[in-house]
Amino acid sequence: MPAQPDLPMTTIVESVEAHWGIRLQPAGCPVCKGVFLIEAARLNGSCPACFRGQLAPQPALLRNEPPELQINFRQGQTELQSVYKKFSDEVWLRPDDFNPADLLKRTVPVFWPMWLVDSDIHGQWQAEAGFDYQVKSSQESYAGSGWRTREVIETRIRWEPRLGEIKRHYDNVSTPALGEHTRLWNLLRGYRLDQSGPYTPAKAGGAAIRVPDLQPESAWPLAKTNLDGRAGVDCQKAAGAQHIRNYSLKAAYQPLNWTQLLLPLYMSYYTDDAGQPHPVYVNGQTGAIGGLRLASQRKGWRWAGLSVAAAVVLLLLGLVCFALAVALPPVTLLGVLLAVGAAAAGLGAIVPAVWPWQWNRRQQQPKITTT
Amino acid sequence: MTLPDTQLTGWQPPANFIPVPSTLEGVTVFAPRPEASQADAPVTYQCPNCGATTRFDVAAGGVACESCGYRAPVKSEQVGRQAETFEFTLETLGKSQQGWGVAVQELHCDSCGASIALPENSLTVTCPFCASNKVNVRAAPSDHLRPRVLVPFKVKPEVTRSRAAEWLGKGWYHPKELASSAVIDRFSGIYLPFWTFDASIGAGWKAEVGHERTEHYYDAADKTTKTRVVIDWRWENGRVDLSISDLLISGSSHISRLILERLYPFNLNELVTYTPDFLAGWRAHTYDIPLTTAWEEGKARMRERAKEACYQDIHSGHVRNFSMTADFDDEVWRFILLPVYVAAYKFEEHVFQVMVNGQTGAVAGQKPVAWWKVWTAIAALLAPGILAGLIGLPLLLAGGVGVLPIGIGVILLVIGGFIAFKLYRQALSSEAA
Repeated sequence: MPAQPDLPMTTIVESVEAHWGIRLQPAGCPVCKGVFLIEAARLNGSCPACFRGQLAPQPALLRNEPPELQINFRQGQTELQSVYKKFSDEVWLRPDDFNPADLLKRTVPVFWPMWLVDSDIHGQWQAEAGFDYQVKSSQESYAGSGWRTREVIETRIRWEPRLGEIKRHYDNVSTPALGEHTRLWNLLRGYRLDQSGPYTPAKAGGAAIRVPDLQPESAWPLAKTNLDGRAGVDCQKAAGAQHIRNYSLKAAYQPLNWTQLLLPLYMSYYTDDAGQPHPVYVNGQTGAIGGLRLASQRKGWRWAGLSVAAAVVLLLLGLVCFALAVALPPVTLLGVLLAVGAAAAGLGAIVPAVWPWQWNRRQQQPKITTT
Repeated sequence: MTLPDTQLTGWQPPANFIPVPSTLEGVTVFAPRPEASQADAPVTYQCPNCGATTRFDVAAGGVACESCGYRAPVKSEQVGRQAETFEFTLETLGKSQQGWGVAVQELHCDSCGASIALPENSLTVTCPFCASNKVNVRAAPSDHLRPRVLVPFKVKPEVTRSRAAEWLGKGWYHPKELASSAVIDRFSGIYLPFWTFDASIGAGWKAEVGHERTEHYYDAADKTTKTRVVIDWRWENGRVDLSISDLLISGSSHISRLILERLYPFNLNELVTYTPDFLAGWRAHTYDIPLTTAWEEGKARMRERAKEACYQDIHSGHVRNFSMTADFDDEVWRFILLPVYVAAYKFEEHVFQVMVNGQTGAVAGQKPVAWWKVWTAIAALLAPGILAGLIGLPLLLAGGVGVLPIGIGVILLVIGGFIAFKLYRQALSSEAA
């Protein structure tokens, strides 16, 4: 049995129109090294992944087969606006650039890929199959009137070894095609893959398509794990078991067919105090949004400064009141109030000064909110 | 999706695996071969040398032929209390309600060809025509419910009569001539069905517990300070965990349970794995009390033990409003066979049962009672108290020292009455079956 199956060759293409039926051309970002298929008009535009580099034409490593399935964008402008609003409103002292209108204006639709692998599996499997069975137990209670019995039915699992042969075909086993697949998947809280439909160039209209950076050779171990998982479910079903553990499979995987599934993603960004862009990701299917949400330290200092200035003014007025109190004693009360106000404003200045720093620290891990 | 060619290649599973039905095309499933047990297959015992009937011989500890002296050891393993136990699965509980081969009422003798009527609940039979011994004549409703362990006979049949005669001679309130005149039938060795139950019980109790306290008080009438005991009631609760192993419940409704329980204990450390050889030439019964019924009884006994344990956990003799819960866990059961010799004897035209524990030799049974002896003894026990009372009464009326003999009389009457009651109960149970 061959250890490594025959994997499809990936070729370098200059134009995808002949194979994929859409007039897109490969372009790459020199900063994040992401490769996209974009409309020619968007060449030299900013990279829809990092928003730091400019997309420049470059050949792409691509398979000739067009994508097999795609999930369409379901979030319109209105939904996006409210998603961005909720996302940004939760940040106090956010940068001026971090607002729903600018986020919406900069939104770019992007499809990101997953591999769909078809394969025959022919081999031998073995596992421990778990069968549910029920046992009767009881809880007895005694009071003055005598014993009362309550029967309890418990479900337990009986584990038994099973093995056998499998010869089945599996279609569209999804497998990561990007190195950052897991990060994106978690950030966007996954997709309902069962809602995918056939790829139609017309429905991809205008969106950039991310080119896989995990070629079949690299993605094969992940694909194999997923194929084995699907086969494991079938073996469990075949054995009539409700559970399975210690499953192993020695199989040949032939012939392998690799196509792509395109997942919808809206990309946008805002800039921080230093003018650095920070991407914001919106799941084009569910509206889940993710990304780093930073507060503006500069804004914090500004508010702290205003607060300190107010404290100084109040303090001075208070001193004036104390001076007047020599001649007019009741003014002392006003002086005290002004002094207290000055202390409060002075101490309150700490909050805007510290809060952005603290918030940004907590944002080290990107938070996700779903609308 | 299954491939068009569903005929899988010539891959062979390990030798100890057999194919089992697969619910999915394109996937074959193999499971370990069930342990091939011939323990429940019908067997006819005949001597391989001379063709005569063979039977399990207690002295030889194996299957023996009385005609030619052939001996074959029994292949069995002593497992003791580690013998396999089973859970109360709904499946087994359902199957235990079914009888043992209820449809089988006749057996075709493979030695002589005769048709033999099967006694009810019998696991073994001896052909009345050719005397061949047959074992496993009925099929268990499930593999779990066949006997898997038993305690073999250790007491030789020859000694049962002498033990029974010795037992009949004991006890002063039985007829004097019982040992000499009783006509004991031949003892019949029989393996009786028993269920054993194990369980862990977590019992939580709650009660009002009274604590005695001595207090001093001023008695205005006597104008003195006195002491008295008062009880302070407090709500208390506690928890007791207990584990009960090998609780024996008889699986046969045909044998006197009262006598059987007097034969206890059986040493279950001597449990051996079941093989039909042990039953060759001996009678053996299947259960007719199903697992569920026996477990209800076992559970009732267990919870009473849990209740006793809860009471022991209360460090006071004053308890009221007692309530408790008992959560059963790890409940398991076994079906076992235990050896008992059964016989009947006649005395003065009455028939009485007697049994001998086939493992320990303990004897129990019904014994007639010479009731005149019992009543005489009871009268003798009560007489001192009554006598003292009779002496004290005129003395009391005369205004003398009558209080003392009356007091002694009451004490003697109470003690005598208690012993007399115990004696009466003992005599009564001696006749009961």
